[in-house]
Amino acid sequence: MNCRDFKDIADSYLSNELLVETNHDILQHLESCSSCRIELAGRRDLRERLRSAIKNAPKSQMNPGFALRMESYLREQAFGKQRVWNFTVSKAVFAGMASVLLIALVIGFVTTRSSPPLTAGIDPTPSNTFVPENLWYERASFIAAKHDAVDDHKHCALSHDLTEKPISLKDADKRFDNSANGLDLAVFDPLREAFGDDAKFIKAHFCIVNGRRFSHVIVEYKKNVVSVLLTLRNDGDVASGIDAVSCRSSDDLRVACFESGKYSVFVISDLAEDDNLIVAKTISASVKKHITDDAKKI
Amino acid sequence: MFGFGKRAEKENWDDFESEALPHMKDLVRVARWLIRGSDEADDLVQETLSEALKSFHRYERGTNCRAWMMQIMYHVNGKRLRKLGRMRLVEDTEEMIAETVAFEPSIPQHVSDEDVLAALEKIPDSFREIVILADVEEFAYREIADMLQIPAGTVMSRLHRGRKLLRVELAAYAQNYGLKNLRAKGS
Repeated sequence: MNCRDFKDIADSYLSNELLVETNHDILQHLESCSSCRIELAGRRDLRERLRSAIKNAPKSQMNPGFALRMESYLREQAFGKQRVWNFTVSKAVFAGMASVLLIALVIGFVTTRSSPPLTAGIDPTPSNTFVPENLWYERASFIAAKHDAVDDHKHCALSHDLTEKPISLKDADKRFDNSANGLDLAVFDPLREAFGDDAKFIKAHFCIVNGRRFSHVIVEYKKNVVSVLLTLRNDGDVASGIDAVSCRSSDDLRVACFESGKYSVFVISDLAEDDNLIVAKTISASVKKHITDDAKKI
Repeated sequence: MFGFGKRAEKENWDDFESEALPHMKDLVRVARWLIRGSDEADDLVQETLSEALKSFHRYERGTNCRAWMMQIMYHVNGKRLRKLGRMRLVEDTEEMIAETVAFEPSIPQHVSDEDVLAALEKIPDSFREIVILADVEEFAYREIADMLQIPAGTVMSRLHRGRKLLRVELAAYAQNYGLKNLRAKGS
């Protein structure tokens, strides 16, 4: 084998595609030819370099918001479409179901007339399918904070009738022990990166509602007002560390929440529940990092 | 019956979620190099995943799900290009350029990621995509042939020529860089 023959099949050798005999010839040639050894090493390095360059190139990176949007879109497609098929394809099934429904309605009508509903006064379970096993967001102190956060969204983001005038996040950092300053960037940067023009920054400030202090960032997503509210957790409560989940509100608003360090964070809007959760998941890493970095400064 | 349908759709989704969705980032990466323009590439990935979900009952468990999805993506992209009237055949001149690269300079040392990517951008699309699918994404010739709907022999010859063109571009880049350095030192 000469150097020209070697160069012709060096790539196939690297890909382990040659016959045993040909591999043997190559090894024999390499033993006596330093320039071909250098050539082979160069080609191997180039292949590895190409692989890592493409995989690490900014152009190749998937936007985290895109992944979340896709998953939500596909989930909807997976479940929504199949239901349509069930109803439209099988008329017999539909007729059967209609009969069952009619019977159930009659029974329901009779029983509700004779006794009070068994479910009266009980909150329905959250519709979110990602509910963690230990419902950390059902502890009383958390629910109280959530109600205040909802009030804050209503009275500060949707209307402007707070009794105490809000102050800037920067001033709040000087006056109180909190992670207010810079929260606006921690919230809005990932949203802008993930959703582009679908996300708009409205304002950020520090406000007090029902005696509770909130760092409050207000953004617009899909033309809906979204509040991100950060507040101190009760001293005795341990942070859950679980990623954002939907924790339903007592009215039409959707609430997603997560915790980090000594804070609870609420994302509140009248978006669809999935969209509201996507906003929370998109910002959670950045907000958690902001809180951690801020704690190190102290 | 309805309960069975619900259970079936849940099982189908669970399988899709565990087998297909983890390859989303690979689809995005290949789409971004296949198409110039990230928005268009992301649209292609969305359409691909949607098609894959609809056809997931046809996927044979235990086979290469990543290659199966990549094949769907190429199919969807072909349809998209035909619709836009942008379907292109490999031009004879490209094949001729690749054929006539007789002299092969040595691979320069100390090249950066940026040098390699710049060189890759310069080689014709038909060779570049096969170099990416084989050397970066590590698909087998047969899998690439199925994706591109061309014979496996064509995949092998284009890959051989594509690698050669990449080395030539890199060497030219390194030579220019060396000359610039020499001039800088001389001045």
